[in-house]
Amino acid sequence: MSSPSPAIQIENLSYAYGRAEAVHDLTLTVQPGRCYGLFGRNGAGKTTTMKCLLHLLRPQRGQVRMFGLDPARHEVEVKRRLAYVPDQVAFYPWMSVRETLDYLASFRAHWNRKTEQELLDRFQLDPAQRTGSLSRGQRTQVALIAAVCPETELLVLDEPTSGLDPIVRREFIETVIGAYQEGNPGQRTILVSTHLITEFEGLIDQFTIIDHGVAVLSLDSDQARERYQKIRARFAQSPPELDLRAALRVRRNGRELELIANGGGAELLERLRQHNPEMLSTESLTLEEIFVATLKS
Amino acid sequence: MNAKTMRIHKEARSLFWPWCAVMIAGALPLLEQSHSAQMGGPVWGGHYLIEPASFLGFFLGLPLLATLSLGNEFQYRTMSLLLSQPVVRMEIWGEKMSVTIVAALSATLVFGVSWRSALDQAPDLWMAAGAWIIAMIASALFWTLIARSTLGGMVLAGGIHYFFFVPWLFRRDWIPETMTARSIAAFLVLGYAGVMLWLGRRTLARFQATGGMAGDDLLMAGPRVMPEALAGWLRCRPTGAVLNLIRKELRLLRPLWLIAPLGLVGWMCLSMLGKLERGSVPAMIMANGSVAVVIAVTPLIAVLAGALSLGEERSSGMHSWHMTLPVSARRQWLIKLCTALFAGLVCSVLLPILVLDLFGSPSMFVDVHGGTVWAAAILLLSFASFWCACAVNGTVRAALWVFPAIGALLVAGGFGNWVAPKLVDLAVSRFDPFTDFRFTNAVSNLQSVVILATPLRLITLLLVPTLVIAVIQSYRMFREQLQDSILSVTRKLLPLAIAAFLGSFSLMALYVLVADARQQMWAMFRETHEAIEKIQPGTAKLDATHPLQLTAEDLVKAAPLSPRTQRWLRNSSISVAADKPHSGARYCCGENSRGIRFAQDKDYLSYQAVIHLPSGADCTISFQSGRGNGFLGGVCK
Repeated sequence: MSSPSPAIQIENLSYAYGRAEAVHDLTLTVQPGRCYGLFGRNGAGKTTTMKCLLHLLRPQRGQVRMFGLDPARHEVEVKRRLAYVPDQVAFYPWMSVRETLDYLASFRAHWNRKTEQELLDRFQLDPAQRTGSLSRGQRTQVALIAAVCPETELLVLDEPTSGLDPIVRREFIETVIGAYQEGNPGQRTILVSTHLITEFEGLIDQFTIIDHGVAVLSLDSDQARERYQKIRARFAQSPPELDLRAALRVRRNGRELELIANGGGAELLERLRQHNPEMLSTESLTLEEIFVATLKS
Repeated sequence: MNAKTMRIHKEARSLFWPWCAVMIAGALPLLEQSHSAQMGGPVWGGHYLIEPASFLGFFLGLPLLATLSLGNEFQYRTMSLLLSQPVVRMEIWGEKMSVTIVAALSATLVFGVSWRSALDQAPDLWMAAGAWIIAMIASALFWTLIARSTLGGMVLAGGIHYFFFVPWLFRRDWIPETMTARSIAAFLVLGYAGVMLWLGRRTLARFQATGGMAGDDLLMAGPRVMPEALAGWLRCRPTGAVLNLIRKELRLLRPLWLIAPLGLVGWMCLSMLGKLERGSVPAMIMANGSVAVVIAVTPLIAVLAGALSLGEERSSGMHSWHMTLPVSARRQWLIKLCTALFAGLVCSVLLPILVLDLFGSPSMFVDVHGGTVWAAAILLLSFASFWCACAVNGTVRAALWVFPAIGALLVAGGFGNWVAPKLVDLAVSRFDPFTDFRFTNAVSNLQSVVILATPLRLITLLLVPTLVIAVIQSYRMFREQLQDSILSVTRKLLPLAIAAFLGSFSLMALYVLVADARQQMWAMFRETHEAIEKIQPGTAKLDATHPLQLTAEDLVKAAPLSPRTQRWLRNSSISVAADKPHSGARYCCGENSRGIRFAQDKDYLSYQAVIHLPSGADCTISFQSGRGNGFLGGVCK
């Protein structure tokens, strides 16, 4: 039996706005059922990548496949299988929340009314309220409801939690997104771009860090945690001079030495142990720490 | 540059391009006058293009300049940012007002100079125009703050004062033509302006940035004025995507539905004015002023119909989101385009025609029988506006681009028209393609060029290629993410301008080439006729059964033939037979017939000559004699 097509497949994607290259030679694959994080600083090219996936921008080089299909040629077929939450959510100001959801539901073959009602209650949204009078966070909540209710195979979320208050944010990430994926395990995929990496920590299966349009790191989250380790050592006197070139970052603070290892953690540990430290500890880096360490290095 | 200068610079910059456009519209009549004085005739199409452009510049451009400074803040959603800066609001008000006043008054000055000769015939129109401008500029800031959009501000600031202006047109006698009455009127206008300025200042001082997005735009999401039944029908349902898209489009055009009745009231006033005002020159000028106001509203509606829906969606970000919905971009584009054209047609053509039918047409101003041309013009304008909305971001920007874009295409077409005869003449003089008889004859027989050369067909032929490209382009731009800049719009306009240029160039070049070929053929027919005429005294007994047989050499001996005619006729035989008179002078040769004069005292026979050329082609020359003149025609097959 042939393996299912990847939900997203990007090969050597490049896109430039005039002379400014937003994405350069980006390659990544997202398998069905995974939650994939796209991390990067402002202007790194995350939104451009997403827009190319959604065929809002035509790739200037390379190719993009969604569910094995070309989004340019199979536009509707692809969009039928995904839902998108943009970074800046806008609605028609004259429509009520109810009408907006009805309007968006009319484009879909399937719409889970039960989920819709649950989410409206959870976010404490008044269906009769006009969207023009909603706050930014409330608009994002409506957009998230509209993205989750069609229960599509793929959710593309561009900074989905910006503007949400901490309670709603946590609830959305832990409950809504979790429930969405559990609705059809192994089949529902999420591509999320966010700055709030910590909040998505437990959810992300795989990620790519983009910097200046170039993918600088693509890893499985578990692999990343294994590979990136923070090693702390305290010595009786000031730390000895060691060959620590294998470390990604070295920080000395009095008698303490803090290293970030990018692979080769065991070797570094062994080297430190040879100098009899008073204390030696290792811990995995969080995704946010990996993000910061990677971009700073 | 200090902070204040920088802020004023920013205000001036935001008004610069619209100001340029309005200034050009104002200066157009001056250019036409100067051209007419130099060339001794009006500019081609000047009457149809320059006057409306100038009126539009005045009645739409000036309100736009007056409202744009503040309207831009709403459009780009920078009002909160502006008001959160550590600057006293009154200072912001002062800066915006000073830039607005300078821009609007400088443009007014240009219009005043351009229209001076017309306005001088009715001095009270000077007063009316002055009063309208002062009232409009003074109140623009207030109305823009109330409407919270450029468009709303324009409609309120321009429209409300128009309705002050119309009753005055009907009852001018209420203001006696005395100095005291005029002083009181001026005092009232200035007083009103002062109150509006104060209101604007006060409203800005108390302005609250409530709501987000377009939530506060009076025209877009103002109070519900629609009957419940209609509102119910327009409410989106959980099923029926296409119907929902249409409903959404109709709802997005809300400002249009609000402005359209305003235009209809204008048409009604015009209809009644048409019955009241007749005869005197000032009355005609004032009535024309009223026509101008109505004429300004009609294109505004057509432009809004095309630009509003996409413009609003683009600036709010809804458009990109719609592109991710599972409905093809082509279907969305088509629905949007059709709705825009339909709305433009209904509001700018069908409803005004209905009003004019009901209230009577002021036929001295408006030819309602030209409905088809009117409808075509409105559809074109709405489409041009839709194209601009696809090319730029936001309704106001799209609307501002419409007239420069149309102007650019007209200039490109005009340039093609102008350059074609010159290039054809140059090519003909250089390469002389008419040495070959077959080529010359084939070109001269291109009857289709003559048949197609009616103005309407020519315009259609010129428009069709440009329109096809524009439609394809609009679809492509519709689904693309914009790089909204003057350069990118110019780049997109370029293919259209090239198509317009090539269309007019090729048509005109073909027309000139055919005309030149005909001229060459005509020269041959005429020279042959002159030679036959010379031989004719000896051919008095010509009849159909005994045609006179001639050779080219006989003709050369009888009359001088040009080298080209001699070359063409070499080794040919010519048989000349008498012909009976025919009622239609052009019976034989259609467009290849011309009237010729000859000496009154001579008697000529009508004849028909057939030239058998060595190439196998036969040419027929027909001469129909009259008293002192005749018709000569010729055709070769």
